[in-house]
Amino acid sequence: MGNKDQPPLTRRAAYEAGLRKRGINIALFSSAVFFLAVYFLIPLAPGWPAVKQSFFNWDILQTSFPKLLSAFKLDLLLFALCAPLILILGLVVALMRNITSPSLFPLKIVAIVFIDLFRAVPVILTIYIIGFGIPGLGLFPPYNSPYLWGSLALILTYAAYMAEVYRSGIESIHKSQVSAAQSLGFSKWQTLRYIILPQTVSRIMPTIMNFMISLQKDVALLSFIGPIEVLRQANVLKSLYGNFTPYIGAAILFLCITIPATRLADYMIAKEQKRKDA
Amino acid sequence: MSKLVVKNLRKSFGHNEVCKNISFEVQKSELLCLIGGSGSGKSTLLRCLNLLEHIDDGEILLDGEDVSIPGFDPELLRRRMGMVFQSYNLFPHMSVLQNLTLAQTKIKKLSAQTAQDKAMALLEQFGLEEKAHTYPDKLSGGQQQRIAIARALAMDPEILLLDEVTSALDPELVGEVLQVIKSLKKQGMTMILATHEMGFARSAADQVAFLYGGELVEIAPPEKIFTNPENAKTRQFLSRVLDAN
Ligand SMILES: Nc1ncnc2c1ncn2[C@@H]1O[C@H](COP(=O)(O)OP(=O)(O)OP(=O)(O)O)[C@@H](O)[C@H]1O
Ligand SMILES: [Mg+2]
Repeated sequence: MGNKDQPPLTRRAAYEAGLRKRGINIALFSSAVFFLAVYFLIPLAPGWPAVKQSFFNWDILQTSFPKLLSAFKLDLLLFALCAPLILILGLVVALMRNITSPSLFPLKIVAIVFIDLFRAVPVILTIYIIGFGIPGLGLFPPYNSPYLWGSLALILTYAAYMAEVYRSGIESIHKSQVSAAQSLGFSKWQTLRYIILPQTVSRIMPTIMNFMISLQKDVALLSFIGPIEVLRQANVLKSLYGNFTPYIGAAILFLCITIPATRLADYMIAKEQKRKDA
Repeated sequence: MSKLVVKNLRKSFGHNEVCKNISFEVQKSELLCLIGGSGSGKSTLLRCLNLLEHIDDGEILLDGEDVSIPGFDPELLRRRMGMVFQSYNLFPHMSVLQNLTLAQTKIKKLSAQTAQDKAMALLEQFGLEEKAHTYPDKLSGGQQQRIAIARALAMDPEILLLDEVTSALDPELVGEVLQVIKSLKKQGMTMILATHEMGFARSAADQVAFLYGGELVEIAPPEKIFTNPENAKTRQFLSRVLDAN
């Protein structure tokens, strides 16, 4: 920009620069029209004052926000505990699923059943069944904690999905890579560790990111079996104030995490695509 | 004693017998070229020699030692026998240097410095030292194949198996890879090369073996195979491919 040494634009480049500038102007103008229309038209709706009062109440948002925020910390904590376990268990199940040795065949069957089962049942049902069922066996604290068993339900469900992601990633690596590694003297395990998994992980990273974003939201499902995390806290506050604004507060907290994470995932997908095209 | 002896090797995939009772010998520092049509079993034979495929019957003797007996650790054999494939040899997530050092450090347990010195010496020998920190996808096909050969050599193999290492290359890049094989031969490396490059087989090989439908039809020095083959199938094959050129 403003570089004196830059050669003058060719006619074609100047023409294309003009086109680009026009495109940007049009985009700015149409967005402005759209958002102004939304801003002025929605309040004209007959029910707007009531909706504004019960969903977008600034005072209630302010008073409830600190409580929501501290409850949201539990969501983040549960996420931070579940995520690494899901990544590890998913990989273990994927490797079990890929077993070829006859003596280890039972493990393969376990993996297949595991994947089929936990992918087939809706996650909320799994949370209910494990989260209420296992503590119901009469376990003593802390082993009857809904945090523990609810998290386990999430971990199992997500690990079943992750296992399939790992597996398709592993299968997408060219077979010659295995031959090349083995012909250098690498054992099966070393081939997996140094050659196959690093390539797999970079390929499936965008998918992993999307799963993590989804997990971050699904942690809120645990509220149905007890933990006072942000959704349950919002429920409590809703009843207390007789107003839905706490839900908006909870939604804002999720947005603060998931939107940056989504952008990051998009960026990584674009980067991986670029690498493939190179 | 012969460097490599193959006796009555058999290999089937289901009902498809791909290696039918194959026997041959390779002397130290010899270059054996495997020729034959597509599907004749060249790749499978090489993979069997490297124990990448489980053989159904027969013996493979390396320096007189039977490496094909059940229970023989294939990883021990592969440290002595390098192999390079048609394509996708290099590990794309590693630089050229890492490609050359990984097996040295993890398998031969050499120090990082020793491994790197060895790698750089090989790259220099191949005129590729300025590519050491490049990633494979930034290299031409010819460079990739030369590096794959260098990587196999970094393990100090006693014998090198090369499976159509030039088949996936643009014609103008074939020469640089064949040149490397010629220079290795000068240095005394024992090699088996599956190839469609008849000109190269004729000029560089010590022996040429013709495979047809999983059978080793004829094995002889190149002058004999190319000018006066004994078997009608060999004659037919050669007249077909040589006419096409
Ligand atoms: N893993 C496998 N499973 C089943 N059949 C196989 C397998 N690998 C090779 N074959 C079969 O074995 C036969 C020989 O194949 P091979 O690849 O060894 O031939 P080739 O001489 O190397 O051919 P090309 O010149 O095309 O590389 C073919 O009929 C092929 O279909
Ligand atoms: Mg082949």
